[in-house]
Amino acid sequence: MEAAESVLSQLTRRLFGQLWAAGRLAAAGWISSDRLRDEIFPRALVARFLAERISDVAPVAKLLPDAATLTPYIEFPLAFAPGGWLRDGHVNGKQYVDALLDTWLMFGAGPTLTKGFVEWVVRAMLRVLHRDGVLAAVAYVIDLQRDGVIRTDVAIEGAWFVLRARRAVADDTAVASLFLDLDDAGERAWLEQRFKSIDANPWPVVRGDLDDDLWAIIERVDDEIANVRTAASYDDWIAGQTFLDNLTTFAKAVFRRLNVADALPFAAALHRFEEVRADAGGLLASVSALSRSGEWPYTPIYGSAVNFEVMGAPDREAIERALEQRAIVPDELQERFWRDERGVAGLAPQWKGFTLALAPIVGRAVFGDKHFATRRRLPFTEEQVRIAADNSNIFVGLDVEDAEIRAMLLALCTAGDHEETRERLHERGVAGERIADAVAVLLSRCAVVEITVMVDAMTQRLASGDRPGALAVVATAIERYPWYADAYDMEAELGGLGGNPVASAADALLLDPMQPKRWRTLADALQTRGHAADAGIARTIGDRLTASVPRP
Amino acid sequence: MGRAQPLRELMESLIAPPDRKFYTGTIKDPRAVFSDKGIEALDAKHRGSFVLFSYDSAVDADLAKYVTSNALADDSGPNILALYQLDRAPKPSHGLAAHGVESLIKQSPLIDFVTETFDGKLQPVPGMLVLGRLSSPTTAIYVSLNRTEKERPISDRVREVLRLIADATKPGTPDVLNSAGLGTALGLRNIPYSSSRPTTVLEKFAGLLGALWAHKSDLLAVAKLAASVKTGGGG
Repeated sequence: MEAAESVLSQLTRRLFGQLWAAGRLAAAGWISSDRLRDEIFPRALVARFLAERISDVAPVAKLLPDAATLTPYIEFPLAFAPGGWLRDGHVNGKQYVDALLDTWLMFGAGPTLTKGFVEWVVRAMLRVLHRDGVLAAVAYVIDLQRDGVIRTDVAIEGAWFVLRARRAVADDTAVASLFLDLDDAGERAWLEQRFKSIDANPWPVVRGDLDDDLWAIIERVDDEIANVRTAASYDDWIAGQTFLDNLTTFAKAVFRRLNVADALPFAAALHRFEEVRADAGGLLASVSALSRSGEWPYTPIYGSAVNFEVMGAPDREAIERALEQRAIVPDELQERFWRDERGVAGLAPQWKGFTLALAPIVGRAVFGDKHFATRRRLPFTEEQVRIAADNSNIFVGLDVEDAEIRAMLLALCTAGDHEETRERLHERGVAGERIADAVAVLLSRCAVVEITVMVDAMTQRLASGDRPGALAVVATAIERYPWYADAYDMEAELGGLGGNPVASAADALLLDPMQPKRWRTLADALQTRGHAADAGIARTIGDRLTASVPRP
Repeated sequence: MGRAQPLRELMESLIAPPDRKFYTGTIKDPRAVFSDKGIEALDAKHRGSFVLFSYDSAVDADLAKYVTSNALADDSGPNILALYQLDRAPKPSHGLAAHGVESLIKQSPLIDFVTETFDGKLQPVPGMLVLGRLSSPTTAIYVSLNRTEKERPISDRVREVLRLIADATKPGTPDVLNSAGLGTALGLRNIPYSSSRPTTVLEKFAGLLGALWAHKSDLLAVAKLAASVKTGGGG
């Protein structure tokens, strides 16, 4: 029987899942350099530390998406990657992880298009073209982009040079000679020879009607659109849309620069890709804005589709056209869409929102949706809110009078949903855009209050010896606020759900891996359960974090 | 589908307002594609001839295989836009009932279109309808692909006809297609064909598209890239 994956391995795998998602988002420009530095990079350090020490590293390598697609070419281009992927001539999980982290962090940290990286991509593409043909070279550069190893602008620039060079020579075997003097065409020449100064302007057009590489791009985009449409979860959907945004941008730019964007054979495909790109961009922009705002976001599974229907689609035919031609609603949810079941209720768990793996990257509060935020009654009394508010400044900055605040709280704490809240406020003469804005902000801040109330309740129950009661409060807190790492801490301290503190501690670490205390909690739990080696690793991380992270 | 593109999507791309996007996409009204504007845009974009393949995919399997292969684009070249019907509509009845043939004809908007173009005269299936223009007067040529030389692959005959059409196509001239010259070339090779009276097919073509789309079908368009890369292009 295969041994169960250790908790540390699971944790590492999930952290790398987060990094993978972050890499893609960063490459697309959806994550700021500040967030990379403050939130992502520390995770990378912890993940790398773990990957170096845990014995079952294979699962870590497995989780890195499609690493196998790179391995056929890995001995060549990766030698030039930052971090030196290939000192010993082959790849193992750790080296791959290190190099991946180095490259995406470097590329993701700034928008600069570096000549060196473009040359790296061109050189690698030439090698693949020489060995396996142009279709492999196109697939290669797109795979690099997909895996977050290169940014979209680097992919565009590199691909354009190679595809333009193909059109300047009579035969593909002559392409490399535009870039390199390959008198000695041995491996060392490919690897080490300096590039000639590249200037495409004097290049002639010898094969202007070449289209095999262009069709390869179109077919690949179509494949990826199909992949996104058949996504199996919300995580996959968002990650897929991120790549579609990149890939359609790549396709459009390469075709445009080759002066074939308006050519008749490709007009329909590029037009459709542009619509898909707009959809993906809109979806990601909303996710990105939500993750920055700190306010209650919603899960825009149908975001663009619903907007599309409400704002302009005239009839069923137009909707059918959009669903057929674009990746606007996942296939799995299209039936629900037609049945007018647009809300989160009844959705399978994998579609309700981001998982813990993606949430800390895309936004800390992205589990619910509009319904979660606005269609519920706050589960405490107005008095509770007032008491807790004394410590949390939830009214600061609201452009409303005291009487209006009272009315808002009363409505929020008693109304069944957002609509009812609005009606009750309206009955009291409290209405308008200013009030609507204040309600939204207040609702968001009340989440903090709700957590405070729950922490108080848990503490009181614990003090009175009601341990199961305290654990039930924590479970409620986790159900309502799954991004709230402190709740997992409390759960672990209470012995964990079902008497297993290890899982609770690991969940807390997944959300926020930079707290030394959490690593020690995990170490103690592992030690108690007989995992001394893993406990030692967890304790070491806790100690290192204590020594290296400035305390607030 | 290979390297073919749905004609509807192609025409949408041609009539989409530049740099405008709506929630519905770039096209606010899907029916705009049916309009004269859509067909005129196609005429303006493609300055060569149009060839519509008329066949039944079950009966003419060899021809169906050829038109859906990537070879068609290479053989037709940049001056011919080849069109064939998406094989997704409900299959026509091939029952042995007395009215089987009539039933088949009634269920094929493409065959209806060919027949209307020739003033109600039925043309043999399979075949190729050649049109110089869609929105202005043209003389249509219908080339029969009924084979007498059974040993010869049908793709050879199609290639031969496509070459003749390409030779007779003069992009940029008012007629685009030299119908008389094409007829002569076909006659010299004993390839059976019919010529129509000069006609404008715009309305009939819109009807064809409407009928196809009403049944969730479409024409697929195949075009070969003309050499359009300019020198340089860096930056």
